[in-house]
Amino acid sequence: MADPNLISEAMRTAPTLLGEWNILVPMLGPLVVAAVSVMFRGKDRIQFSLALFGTLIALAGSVSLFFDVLFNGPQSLTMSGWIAPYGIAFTADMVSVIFAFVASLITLLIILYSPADIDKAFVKSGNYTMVLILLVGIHGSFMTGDIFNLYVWFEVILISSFGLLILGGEKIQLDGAVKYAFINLLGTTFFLIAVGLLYGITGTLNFADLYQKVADSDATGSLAILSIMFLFAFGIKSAAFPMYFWLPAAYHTPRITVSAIFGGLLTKVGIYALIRIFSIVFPDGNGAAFEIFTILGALTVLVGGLGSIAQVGLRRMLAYVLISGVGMLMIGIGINTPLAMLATIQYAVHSMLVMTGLYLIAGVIGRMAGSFEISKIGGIVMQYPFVAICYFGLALAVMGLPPFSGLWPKLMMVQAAFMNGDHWLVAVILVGSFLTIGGVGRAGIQMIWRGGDIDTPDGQYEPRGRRLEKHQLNIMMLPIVIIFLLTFLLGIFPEFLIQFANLAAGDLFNTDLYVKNTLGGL
Amino acid sequence: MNTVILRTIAPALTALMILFSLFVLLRGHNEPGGGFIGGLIAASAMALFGIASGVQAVRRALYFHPVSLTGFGVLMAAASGIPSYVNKVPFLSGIWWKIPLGNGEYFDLSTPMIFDIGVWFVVVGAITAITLTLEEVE
Repeated sequence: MADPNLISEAMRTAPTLLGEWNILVPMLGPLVVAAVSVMFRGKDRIQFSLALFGTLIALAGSVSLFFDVLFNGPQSLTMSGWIAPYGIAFTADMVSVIFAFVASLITLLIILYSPADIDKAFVKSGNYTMVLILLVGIHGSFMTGDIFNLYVWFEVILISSFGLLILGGEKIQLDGAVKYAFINLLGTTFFLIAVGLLYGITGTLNFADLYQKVADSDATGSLAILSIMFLFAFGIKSAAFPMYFWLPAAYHTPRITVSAIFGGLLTKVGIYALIRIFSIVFPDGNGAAFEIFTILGALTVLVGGLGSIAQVGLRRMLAYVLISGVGMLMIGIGINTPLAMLATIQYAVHSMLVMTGLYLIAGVIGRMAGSFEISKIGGIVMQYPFVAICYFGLALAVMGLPPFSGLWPKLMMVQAAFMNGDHWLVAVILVGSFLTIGGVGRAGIQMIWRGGDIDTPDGQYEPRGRRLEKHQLNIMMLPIVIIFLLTFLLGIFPEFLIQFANLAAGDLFNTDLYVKNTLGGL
Repeated sequence: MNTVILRTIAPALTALMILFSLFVLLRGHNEPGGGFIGGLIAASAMALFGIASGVQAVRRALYFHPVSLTGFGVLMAAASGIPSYVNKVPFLSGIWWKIPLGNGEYFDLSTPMIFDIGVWFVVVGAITAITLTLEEVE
């Protein structure tokens, strides 16, 4: 360390290029727009336009950052003129920008869907504002280069998601929100304790600095315990095996757009944090962490698959399918080879898109039938064949069947497990997919082929519920069709995503670039 | 709580407390104080005024909805990072402008001060929104 009197050694003197600000746009844009939309919270007419505007800024920012990272390698900016380990750094590598781009895109699609789902009272209570702040928190988590800041962004996500969960204030929502809040606060507390202990051992919070300090540290025992604490904390966030039960309890209570944004994005933020921490802070797993990953992931896949078969509610069924996907991602992190990470990132993108699509289409189906109970839904193929086709496509995608995007990451995951010698994992992945086919397929058969509710005899057609207005259906179907086309195209041309996911996996195993960019070549 | 003494003294006390909160806010850069503490003092002034004269009087006096003040504060705090863009320094760097007052003295305007004023608005808005809602329920 330099002489403490030489404070100038910790300050940056080189001028900041305008391009370096790019990394802030996906956070700062929606934040500013959210602030404006809080100021005009009573004016429900402009709330939607503001939300659309904010999300478009975030999308444009993340696209431009994507190309920046693609051509110039990881990008970093340290706040307020300090140099990285002292100042708070934002660093984006290929993993961050892929997640950030998909998150912006999904939020945009959900905002487009919202007018059909969110009524005036919800808008006035700040639905769009909270979605924007949620997006700020999500982008912040993807971009931050500082583990304490990661905690802060998780708090931002938590607060806005509490707000979104209880909008409407029905009894069942409060019940779900209490479970969600309690278990997530527990996870956050564990995370904070682990960050404090990590700081105590290494004396730094910056990811790039931690990479060097943890590798040099003698306290391997304490670090191994810490890595398990991080695993536990983010296991709660991403709804992995023993800590998954809050998700089905909470995700079926709010409006469907809220379920969709939670299902598509929130668990993936937990997964992103696991990927980040276990690639740069504990790259060798510090003991047993990676074995625990695979075991927990396998159990999560099986529990999710079995749960999806057992559920009678459409949204609860989807919650278990989501959990099964989380397990698949945990397995990928646990195998920890470049191929497995490539599959993990690709699967995360696929899962974000498809789960959002499934929740949104569940909203359409629920609106038609007036219920989310699978036993009370029927006759969709007669009434709305187009909706039935979209459900069928998204269901194939989430099962991992061709010609949709779910096939390739699962295939690569199986290959990675074989190459690593984990034959039992191959069995788990395949059985898990099979169980998902059971859950999603059974729901599809009952809702789509059956003529009416559960007692309708074969061949009879007596749908329940009401017809939707044409323009409302169009608003709802547009984002679903976009997701349908995306997952179809990613299934037909997988190499498009694979090349970027491959670069991202490369960034995870070659952290030197990340470190160099954050610390400025120290 | 609606005694004559309180009702008489509350407006004067409220004015004094807001003045004091601005004083605490502005001296915050180098001495104890700042946006958060100043905001809390101003928010307690609003609460006191609300207890004495009723919630409606506070809402009228504020003119803007307290939550809107919070939004404005966030906007201001975020905007305090923008001058860094023009000066080619990283986001949220402290930038100081010396504004001559005409008599040889200078007023130090700075981005940390703008940020602090933003924090002041956030705290005043959020705490006042909560206290007013609680007072309304009673």
